[in-house]
Amino acid sequence: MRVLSNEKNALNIYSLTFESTSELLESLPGQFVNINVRGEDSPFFRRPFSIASATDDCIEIIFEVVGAGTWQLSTLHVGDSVDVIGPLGLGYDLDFTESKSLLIGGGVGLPPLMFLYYKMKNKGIEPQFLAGFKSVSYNFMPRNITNVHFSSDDGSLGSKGYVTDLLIETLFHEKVDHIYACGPEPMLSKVIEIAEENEIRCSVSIEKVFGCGTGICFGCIIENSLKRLTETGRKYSLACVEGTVFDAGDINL
Amino acid sequence: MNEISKERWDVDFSIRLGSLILKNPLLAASGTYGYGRELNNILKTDDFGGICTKSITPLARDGNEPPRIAELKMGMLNSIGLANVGVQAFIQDKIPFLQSLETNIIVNVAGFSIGDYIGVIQLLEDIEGIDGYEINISCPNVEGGLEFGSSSKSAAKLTKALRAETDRFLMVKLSPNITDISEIAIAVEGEGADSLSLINTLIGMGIEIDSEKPILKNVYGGYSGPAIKPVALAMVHKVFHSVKIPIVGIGGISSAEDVVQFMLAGATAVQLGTVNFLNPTALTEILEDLVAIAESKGIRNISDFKGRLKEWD
Repeated sequence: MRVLSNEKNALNIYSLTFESTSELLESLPGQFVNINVRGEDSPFFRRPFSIASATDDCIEIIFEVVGAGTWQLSTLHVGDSVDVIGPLGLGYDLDFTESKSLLIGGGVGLPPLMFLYYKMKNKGIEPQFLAGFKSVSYNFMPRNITNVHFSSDDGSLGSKGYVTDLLIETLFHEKVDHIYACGPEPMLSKVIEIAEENEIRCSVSIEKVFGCGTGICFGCIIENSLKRLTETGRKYSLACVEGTVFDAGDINL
Repeated sequence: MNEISKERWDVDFSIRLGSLILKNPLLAASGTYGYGRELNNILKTDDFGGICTKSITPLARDGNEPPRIAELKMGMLNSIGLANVGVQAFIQDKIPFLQSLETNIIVNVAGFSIGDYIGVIQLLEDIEGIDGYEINISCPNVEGGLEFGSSSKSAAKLTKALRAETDRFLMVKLSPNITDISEIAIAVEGEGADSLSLINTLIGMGIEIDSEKPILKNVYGGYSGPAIKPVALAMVHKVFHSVKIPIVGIGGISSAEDVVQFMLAGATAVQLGTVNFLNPTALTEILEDLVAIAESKGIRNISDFKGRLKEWD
């Protein structure tokens, strides 16, 4: 696929867009693309990236440079070709039957929620959005996303502390029917715990090491909850094709 | 999606593997192509000369605890632990799609006792559309799994027992984690195997310095990918000079050059494994590149590459 833009929009954070295909055009929030990063010291496996937006013209991913693979991606120029497969996985349920939705994410866990936000807005739903960053320098939230409450580890953006503290505070004075979450595992565990305490439906998007992303290597397993184990007779689910989005009640993080 | 049709090429890709006719010499390796359906929307499973299914055991298996895959510079480690739906669910849920394919369906069978293997094969014998079996005597991931493949005596005993159960194409997949692969190959051939596939993964280990822990929960795993290709090539070459039955080469194959090298060393066909994870359309690209190599060498039948390796003066 041809690269259409690659812009640094926060500290170590890039937004990469590339040409869409008819399949990618149908992408859902929570689905991902798997990119074969070529070059010196490039990683052996493809690298999965949640889709941050999908329009008629282009697909957007947002990534942080953390290793050789993401560094290679950051050096791509307009017109370069990028080896992409997708969309892969199952996305968030877009039924939106609940009246009040809340999106909560941390760092590069936010892009699938941004995509979800756009889908909700298109259906006339205005979700509450909680976004956590290490500091203001990492903030890549686009301006067209409004109604966001921020938190940061050092207090340089929004309230100081974890985004899960912000969730607890929000739930004190707001009624929420469905929480959609994506971020690092400790954050997700905390979100699930809070959702359970408050008896709120919770959908989480999970990332694991994906050997293939297509459901054939059986490597990216996540443990099923007792409920799902009883239903399916299986101890594990595959994060890539049965996820990346799971109902919090179906898995043990 | 590219339609691979023989007519497009000047090169005849079809090969004979024992009693089977393959439209091309590329098979999907067991454990790297699921149950044949998963990638069908990216690449037509039909385009393979054959597919070897995930290992099937008598009962469903969840497999080993995570982490059970890890990447290294030139390959990957896995300790999946024979996760599969079990033979009953395989017949009910997976066979119908496989039967709809116009390619050779080779069911990979695994077990922990001779009875396990026989049990799976007996249930599959009545099912139409299965072209043969590949016997996994070498999965190094599960305790006891090495037993059959690690000695020529036990490998021969298992082969003999299974030969008595089926007239279908019977291919035995050999482990590289042994002293002399030829000895096992000869023993298995002697008991009636129709073909040998080699090599399965090499036992390997990775260690993470930060946590000071093995990268796999299972500690050891099977090493696969381009890194193991030279080992596989040497073993195929060695076995080719030890047995008469056809050999299917496996081990890090990811390009047309790799395929030709394995055929020169003596392989009749090859299996694509780990490359399916990295590049789901590898088959199409390899077939296209094979034409160029064959044409540059004036080869009209791909099978002519087999065993053509020249000796040094």
